[in-house]
Order: sequence, then structure tokens, then C-alpha cells
Amino acid sequence: MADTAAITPADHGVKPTVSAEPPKPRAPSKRDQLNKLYALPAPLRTFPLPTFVPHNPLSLFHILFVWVAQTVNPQPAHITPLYQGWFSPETRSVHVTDARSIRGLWEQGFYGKGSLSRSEPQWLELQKTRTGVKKAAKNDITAWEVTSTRRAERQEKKWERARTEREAIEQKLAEEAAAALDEAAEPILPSDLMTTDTMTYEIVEEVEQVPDEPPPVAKARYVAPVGPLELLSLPNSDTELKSSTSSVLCFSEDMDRRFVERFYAAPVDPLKLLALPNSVQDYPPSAPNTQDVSVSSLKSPPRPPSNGHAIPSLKPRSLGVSNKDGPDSEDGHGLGISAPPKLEEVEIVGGSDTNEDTVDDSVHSTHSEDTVETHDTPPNGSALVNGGPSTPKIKRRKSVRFSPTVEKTTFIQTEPPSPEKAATLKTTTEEEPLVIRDQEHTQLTLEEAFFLAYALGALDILDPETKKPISNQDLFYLFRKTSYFPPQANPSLSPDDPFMTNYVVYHHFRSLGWVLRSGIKFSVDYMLYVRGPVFTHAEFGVLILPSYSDSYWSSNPFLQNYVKSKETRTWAWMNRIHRVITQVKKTLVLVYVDIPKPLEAEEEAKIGIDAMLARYKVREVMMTRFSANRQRD
Amino acid sequence: MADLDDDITTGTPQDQTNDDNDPIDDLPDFRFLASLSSKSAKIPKRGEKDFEPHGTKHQGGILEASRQAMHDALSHTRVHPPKLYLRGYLYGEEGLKRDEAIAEELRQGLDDDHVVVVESSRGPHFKTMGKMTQGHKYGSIWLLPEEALYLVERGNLDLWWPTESSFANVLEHMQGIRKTTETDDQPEEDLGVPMSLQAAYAMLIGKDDERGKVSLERYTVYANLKRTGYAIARAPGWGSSTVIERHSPTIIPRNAESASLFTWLFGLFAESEKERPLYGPLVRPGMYRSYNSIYRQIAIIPRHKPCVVPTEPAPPPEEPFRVAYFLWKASKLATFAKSNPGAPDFRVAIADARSSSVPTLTQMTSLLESTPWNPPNPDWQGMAKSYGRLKHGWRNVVLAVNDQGVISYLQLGEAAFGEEQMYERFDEGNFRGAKRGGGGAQRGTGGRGRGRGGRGRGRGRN
Repeated sequence: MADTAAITPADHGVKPTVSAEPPKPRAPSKRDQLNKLYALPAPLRTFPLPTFVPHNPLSLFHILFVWVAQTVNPQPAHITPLYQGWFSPETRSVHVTDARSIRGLWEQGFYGKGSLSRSEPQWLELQKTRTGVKKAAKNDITAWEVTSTRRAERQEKKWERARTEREAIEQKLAEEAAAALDEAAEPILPSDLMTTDTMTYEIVEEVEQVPDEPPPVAKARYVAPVGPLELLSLPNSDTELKSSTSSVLCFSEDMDRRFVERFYAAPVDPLKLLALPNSVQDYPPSAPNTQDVSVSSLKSPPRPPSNGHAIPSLKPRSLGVSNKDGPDSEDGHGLGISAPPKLEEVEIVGGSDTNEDTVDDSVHSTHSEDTVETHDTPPNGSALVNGGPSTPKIKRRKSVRFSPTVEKTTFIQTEPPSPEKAATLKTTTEEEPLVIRDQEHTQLTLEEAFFLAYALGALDILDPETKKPISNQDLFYLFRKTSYFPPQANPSLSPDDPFMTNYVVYHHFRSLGWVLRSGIKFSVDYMLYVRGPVFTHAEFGVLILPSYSDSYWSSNPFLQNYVKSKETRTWAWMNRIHRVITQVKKTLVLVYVDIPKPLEAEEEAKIGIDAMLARYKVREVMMTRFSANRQRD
Repeated sequence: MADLDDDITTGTPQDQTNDDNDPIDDLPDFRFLASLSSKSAKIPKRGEKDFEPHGTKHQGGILEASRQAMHDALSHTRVHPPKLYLRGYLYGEEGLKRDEAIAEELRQGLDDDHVVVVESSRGPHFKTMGKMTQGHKYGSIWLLPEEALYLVERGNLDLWWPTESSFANVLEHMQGIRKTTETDDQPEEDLGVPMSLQAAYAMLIGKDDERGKVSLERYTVYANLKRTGYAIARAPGWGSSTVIERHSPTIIPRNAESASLFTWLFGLFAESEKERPLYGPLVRPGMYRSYNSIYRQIAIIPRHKPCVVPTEPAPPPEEPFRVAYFLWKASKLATFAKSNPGAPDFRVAIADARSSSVPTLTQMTSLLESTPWNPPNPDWQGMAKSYGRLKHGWRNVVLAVNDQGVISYLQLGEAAFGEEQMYERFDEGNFRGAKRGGGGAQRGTGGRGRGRGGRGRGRGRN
């Protein structure tokens, strides 16, 4: 057990700025960092006595000392001042706006959701990293970035697997074609594979004379498209398909053009226009990426299927190598075709006879597009994976020529421009560092807010009009009234109103030490995490089913009808949810909330909230699939 | 470490071949039928799925081989050797009634639903099927409607309308007095009329509370499980009128001392619970030495405590949420005895997907409480096993939801999250929770069900 100081990160609460505090000298492991950052399971501190070490009698004195010190000066469990939130009747939630509360509530129990983030409020961090204000250290990447990188990697793996599969198929086709040739050559001795060169030539001629057996080359062109670019470059209509496949040569040329037109359209919106190079001299002495494409199509039209198709190929590296005859194409950029080509190559292509106007077009449009849309893509090819149009990365020495003020407003009001551009900007506006105002707040659901305020006493919820904290008693009725949807002017408070039903379940699991997050993304009401979403995946999805077993609810026909309408759930509904939950490898927990009979308002007021909550019963039923086949043995 | 709740992994089709898909969704690879001889009882495995034709001859060859195998399997000539020929007579409500046609001493020990009598008990099916009459030297074997219909469907049983003399024939057969060859020589005597498959369905399918009938939902589930390889028998609570006796509390709880520990913990909680203000906060301001003391203060909603004998027993289960069949795994078939089958591995309730809805709390509790106490394996201790314990539950039952013949099997378990106090780990330094004190170390967990780490859990997520 650590000593008191380690358990109570008091500095968490008071820090004005948001930071992930990476300790500088010796970088601890990721796990340690997380353990430290999320050391408190709730926004409450505890002060355990130091452990007694039997072979070290001094530890006894340490214990005594701590005990005496704490008895004389008891430390409060609650973090002072309390976190603050504002009730927002419009959104039926509680907004937390100050950075201290936002961080505290997230780090100490994973409460709330950033209004501009998927889960953890990290919009500001993201903006800072994006705009280059904050240099992203290697171990300081945000969860958002981790997720997207991981997704990109996963996606790439999938493409890669699809590619290998296709290659296997192609190889099989080639083998079969060869086998067919052999058979045609020696129908009597098909097992004999030894054929001389001259014989093979003869065979080829023979095969070509046979009209009803198309050469395997033509057949193999109908390979299923697997790469994103291949998918994009698919013909859009049947007629197109027919015309394009009429001959091998036409096919690839046509595709080039369409490919180019599609991705390098003329600039239309103001940003793109602004970003256009101002003069012809602005062109760097490098070729646009499409040249590779045209080169490939020019150089190898009659090549067998894999290459005829390789223009929008998945693995650009191989393409670059095959076309440029050089392994030095440093195409770290996903598509490979974006490698900085050499001047000679440009000239070669530009001077080529067939595709001149195409190339010209592409030169223009590529550049215009490029200036605006360059992403900061990691060198693992995630541009490709993200599926966006390929944006070649061309190092431009020129700085963009518009005033910094314009840039600044652009930053704040719209999507931030690319880091490339931010870097450019930084060189020009070094003196005044960019200040991004945090525009994100945390939203607490009514259940979360009430749990924090009523159960833990760790949150003050303020009324937006009076600016005064709302008492728990008022909150209780306010939240119950607010929880109806569509909103009702003067709802009658029933023991099964949405807030009560949800809160009972929320409180039940929270009081057992689970971390609850909304389960809406998984078609259920809540997800249960053991320590929190940063540590483990949720294992359980909680589906709330109200239940009315009290005899009151069957006391008259009207109530019986009401109960029936609330309790009845079809199997189709159930199985849909079950299927979704099992698909994401979670376990479905049906949580029955037994609704007690209603009480008079005076009675409610007399017994208090805890006694009211104690009247509810919660029963969990685990629902898993029974696989008759697997369980048999 | 990211927004993990966002990270839905939907595997690619290749990933989930034969894995996540419902097995009944997959078509078997029929090529394996070819290698299946009548001798080997091995069930063919499923092959890899191809999702589109890719033009290789190899693929074409596989497809062709599969088709051929399927055709071969279908065109296989089925032979019914005379030795295995089995005739049965239906003594249902229509036609000759059993209780009128057959003397009482000859039908002792039968249920009302035993309506088909067979001439012999040869063959592997009678290891798990049929009921022998008792108390008379002339015994006979009787089948339940679903058993008879299943055998008729399989072609194992020839079902006949009986005549007055049919039962005497049956008895003679059973006694072995009549030799099978004899019938061939003699002129055809009045045995009755053979029954068509349609007639068998019409006679044997009905409502569950009708005598000598079985509902179509139950029959489909029965046949499906039977075909899958289980030994299956009617549960005592089959008929609606039957009142199941509650499971006797003779089953000793495997961890009796745990209850005391639990109550002790809660006793502490009750002590510490002093005057609380009506409107919270539940956690009184002050200094706390442990999170245990904090979390005990906020435990105000009653938690479910699983008991061998429920303190507030639910009403007896009602249709359709009551156990209809007992299941024994195929691996137990070798030692299976009809007279003493032992405790079943699974209990199955059957509900119609269209006429019933998701059970209410009362229905669910009644159903679960009608099954015996089945706590998680006490060997599995510690926080690391808490998922397993939770998933296993304390009682469980299989619910077959039958939608017009398409069956979805669900396993329901009585979970008790209140038995797993997750907050106990908060007080272990940085709550990494490798070791645990005695706090909640009362339960084990079940190895049943899919555990973590099986089946490629977390695939692609790390």
C-alpha cells in the first residue's frame, strides 16, 4: 500500500490547465501512467494508514504518526471545492464547463462525455496537436489518435489480406493456364511437364487459333477489386463496363483518365482557390503523382492481369518499383504514387505522345488540390487506408501569401487546416502564438449528475437562472420531471418514470464499483466497465426491463393494460439486441427493475430519497446464446 | 486504450467463418459427405466459405465435387432390412383409445401421453426412448407422440392404425412367440391399416395439454435436439396441470460459511449506517480510510442474494416458461440408462416466438427457481474470475424460442452482481488487484460457457 501522498493526488483538482502530465526523467510504462492518472476510482479521497511492516518497527511509529496527524487534522474525503455543473433544461443534462471539474470527473470515475468528443473530453488537445501548437510527443498521443491509428492499421491489414488472397487466386489461375497449355501441347501425356522452348511457341500459336477457348489472360482481368482505389475506379454503369473491357489497351487508358478526373477536379471552393499557386514559377520541379499512373499505363498496357489492374493498386510500393525500375522510390506516403518524382521522369512523361492533355490536366488539378488538402499522414500508408482521395505530399518551399489574420479566423471557426499549412503559418506568425479557446464542455446525464450530487456528494449542480446550487431534494423532482420525453408541462411523477428506472440501475451498479457508460452505441442502456474504458473493454451490456410484480399494478384493468404495454417485448426485439451484443463480443444482462407501488407526495417526502430507492428491486439475468452444436460434447 | 467503447470489431467474413455465425446459418460442405461411410458415426466438419466465384478451375472443381457429394448422398439407397423393421400402433384419442382397448394391468406405469406401442425394442433409439409397462409378465414398449413422430420421420417406424387384435400381436412379438418368418407364409391377417406420414402428423401434433399429442413448437425443438445428438426426455413439469415439487433443499450449499461472511459484512454496513439525512448526500463528509467504507454507505438498493431455497419463492412456472425437456450431452449416451438417467446437463423451456414475449420478472424468476441450485465452480476464486462467476450464474435454464421452426436457443442464468463487490479492489494499492483478501472470496466460478480468451476474443482490438 502506498503512502498517503501517492493515494491522494491533490494536485489533480486544482490544476487549471489540462495536461496528461508525462513525467519527464524516466518514462514509466503506459500502464503506470494510466494507473497514476486514474488513481481515484471516485471523486473522493481516502486516507489509509500506512502498512505495518513486521521486521521494521519504525513503521509502527509511522502509522502512529499518521494516525495522530489525521486525528488532529482530519482530511475531508470530498475534493474541495466541489466540482460544479450547470443544469441545462434544454438538453436535459448537466453541463460542466470549468476545466478542473471536467478533468476531475473524467479521471475520477469516468463521468460525462465531452460535447465535441466521442467520449473523453479532448477536443482542445486534439486542436492543439492538429494546429501544431503542442508538439505531440510519442507517448503523449491522445486516445483519439490511438484509435484512428489502430483503425488505420487494421484496415491496412485487411487490404493486405485481400491482396494476398487475390494474388493466390491469380497464381492459381496462372498455374491452371500453364497446365492448360501443357495439356493442349501433349494431350496424350499430360503428366509430362518437360517442354522445350520451341514447343511452347507452337503451343501458343495453337491456342490462339482455338476460338472457343479464350486465353487465360483475358479471363483473369475480371478480378474482384479489393483496394479502395480500385473500388473507386470501378465503372459506374454497365455500358461503361462493356466499352471499357472491349480491349485491354483501351481499358487501362480510359481508366487513367477517369481516375484523374475523379480525384483531381478543378478547384471550386474559396479555400482551394486561395491556395492555388500564384504563378507558373510556383510549381516545384516535381511531377504530380498522376504521372506514375500514366507512366504505368503507357509502359505496360499489355501486361497480364495483375498489372493491367494495378493502376489504382493497393500496394503502391510494388507499382513504383515496377515502373521506375528503382527501389529508391521513397514513397512513405500511402499511395506510393506520391513519391517525389524526379525531373527527368516528368519530362519523359510530359513528352510522351499519347497522353499529353491528360497529363497536363492532372498537373494543374493536382497542385490545386494538394495545397489545401494535404494531410499529415503517418508514413505507414494510412492515407490510403482512410479511403480519402490520394493527396500527394509535395514539399513546397513557398509560403502561402495571405495575411495571418485571415488564417487565424479560419483556424477558429472552421476545421483547422492541415498541419503542413500550420507549420507554414507558424514561420510567418511566430511572434503571436495561437491561442485556442476551449469550446468544449462535459455533459453529464441526469443519472450521472444525480449520483454525483446525491450519492457521493461530489458535485454542485447550479441553476442557470439563479446561479445557486440546487438541493438534492429539488434535483430529484426536477430530474424526474425532466426525464419524460416528449417533455411534459406538468408530468405526474410515477415510480416508473424514466429517470427513476434508469437511476436505480445506475446507482445499483455504481454502488458495486462498476463504471457505467451509455450503451446506446451497442443497442443497450448501459455498458459495464470494471475500472473504466481506458483500462478494459466492457464485458457486459445492461438492458433495463421494468417489471411490475407488485399486486398494486394488477389491481384494476386500466393498470393491467398499462403494465402490459410497458412490459411486453417481442422476441424479435430481444434477439436483435442480443445479436448486436454478441457480435461485439459482449454479454447481455437483462436487468429487471421491480417498480414499487406509487406513494403519495407527502409519504415520499417523509421517507426520503434513500428509502424510496430502497423500495425498488433489481434482478439481473444473464442471457447468452446456447449453441446446441457446441455444447453437445 | 482509446475510446474503446467505440471500437466495435466487426470481423470480416473470413474471420467469422464457422465462428461467430449461427451454426444453422452455415451450409455444410457437402464434400465431406462423400467420405462418410455408413459405419463411421463421425459428423462431417464444415469447410471454408467462398464468397464469390473467382474463376479458378480449382474452385470450380470444389464446387462440382460438393454438388456431386450431395447428389450421391441424396441418391443413396436406403435399405430397411427385415430385421430392423419396426411396426407401431397408435392408440390415440381418435380411433381405438388406449385405455379402452387395453386392459389396465397391461398398461401400468404409462403416462397419459404414451400412445404408440411398438412390436420390439431393438435398435439404438430405444436406449433413450420408450417406456416399458410394469407389473405384468407381458410387458410392452410405449412411445410418446414426439418419439413416435421422430422415428416415423426418420423412417425407423412404421405406424399403423390398430385393430382389436393388434395389441395381442404386439405382445406375441415382444414375447418372441411369433417368428418373423411366419407372417410371410401366412395369409395377411387383420393387423390394421398403415398410416401415412401426414396422418401421423395429424394424429400426434396438437396442443400440449391434449392427450397423446405434442405441440409443433415442442416437437420441432425435440427433433432438432435429438438430431443434434442429445439424449432428451420430458421433464416432470411437462403438462400444464402438473405441479412441480420445489427442488428439495437437501442440496447442501457448497459454501455455507460464505453466507455468514456476507451477513457479517452487511452487519458492519448496517452498524455504520446511522442517521442519514433524507436527501443525502449518502457519503457523509468526513475522513475515510478505505473505499470499502464509502461504498458501503451508498449501498441502498436491495441486491439479489441467490439462495438454495428462495426466501420469497416465486409462483410456480406457467406455460410457456417452464422446463419441458431435460437434455443429456451426447458424451453421456454410452452410459445412459432410461430408468436412471442422472441429473440432466441442461433444462429446456420452449416458447413460441410469435405468441409469447420476453418473460416478465415473475415468469423469469419462476422459471429459474424451478431449476436446481447450480452455483459457479467454487474452485475459481479471485477477482480474475469474477466475469466467469457472473456469467455462470446460480441457476440456469435453456430457453428455445421457436419461430415457425427456426429455433433460437438462449441460455438464461440467474446472475447476482451483488455477490461481486468490484469496489473491494479499490483499496488495494492502485487497485491492480492481483491478490485479494478474504473479502468476497467466497465464490468460485464456472468453467462453463465461453470464457475469455477462447474464440479469438479481442481479435483485432489490440
